[in-house]
Amino acid sequence: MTEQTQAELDTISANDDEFMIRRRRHVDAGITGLNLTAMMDVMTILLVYLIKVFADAPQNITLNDDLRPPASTAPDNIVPAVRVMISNGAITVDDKTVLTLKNGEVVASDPKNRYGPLSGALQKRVDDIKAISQRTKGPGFDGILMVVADEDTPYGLLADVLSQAGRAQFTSYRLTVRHK
Amino acid sequence: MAGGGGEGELNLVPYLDIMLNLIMFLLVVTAYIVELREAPVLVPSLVGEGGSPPSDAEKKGFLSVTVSPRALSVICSLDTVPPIELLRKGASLPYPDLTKVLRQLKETQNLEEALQIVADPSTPYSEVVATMDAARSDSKGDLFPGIQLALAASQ
Repeated sequence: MTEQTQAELDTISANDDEFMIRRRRHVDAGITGLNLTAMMDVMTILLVYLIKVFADAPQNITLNDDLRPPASTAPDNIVPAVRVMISNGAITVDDKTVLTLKNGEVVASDPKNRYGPLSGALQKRVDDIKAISQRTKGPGFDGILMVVADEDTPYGLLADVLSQAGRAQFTSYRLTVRHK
Repeated sequence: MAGGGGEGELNLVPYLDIMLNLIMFLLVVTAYIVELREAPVLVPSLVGEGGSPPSDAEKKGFLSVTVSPRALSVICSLDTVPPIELLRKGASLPYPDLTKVLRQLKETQNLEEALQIVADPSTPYSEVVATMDAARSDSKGDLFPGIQLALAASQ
């Protein structure tokens, strides 16, 4: 009697275990059905958007110890324009180094034409913009120059750069500053 | 982006991990980006706009602020306004005092909207920008939003 009861109990227990395993498999099958494709789409769109925003931002300027613009309360937002950067070591026009600086002065092989490379680079930039504008029938050259200078730059150097820009037909200067 | 079932399906989980990490990196980097703004400056005009010159009665005064290592000087083209000199206090130039003087002049004199800042060639750019800030506006509103830059001729 006892042995029979034990055998019945074993059978019932084995059936229950099998039932639970089947049930768990059934539930698991529901969980593995989670669709990752939609999440993948969302992530891809977010990623492309962020990369695009970073790449196209006009204020995409790498600041470092040699280039730290002064803090200011100026309210205007940055507009895309030809960019001149005056760091402690160099002057660049649209990220191309045209002049080397040492102690706030231009290091030039020809002292009579110290700003020649800068003037040439700005003039070339203006000519390129005008040529592209003519070809694409775009809005044309607007004469805006974005000047990003380090806070310790001597004002005389900045004035010389603006003077060269004026000769290259730039008529509107916008000084880039850190928002205070 | 084709999904679908089947045992041979491409495993998207590693790609998701990479994308999630990239997105988190970009979002965190955004927090450390320095916010930049622009301060427009005017080109000094050497030639008049044309038309008849203004009479003495309607002639507006033009202010010039000189930045030197020692002081800030305010000079007005009107004979009735004497030059004002604001001496340096400690490490920085007296920008709040300059703002007060300019506000007082704007309220009492007939002045142009533009103001000229003349600086010594050795003046740090940050001091020129701070002077521009002091001259642009105060708590009451705009002072001289149009700012021209000029170089001290005597240097």
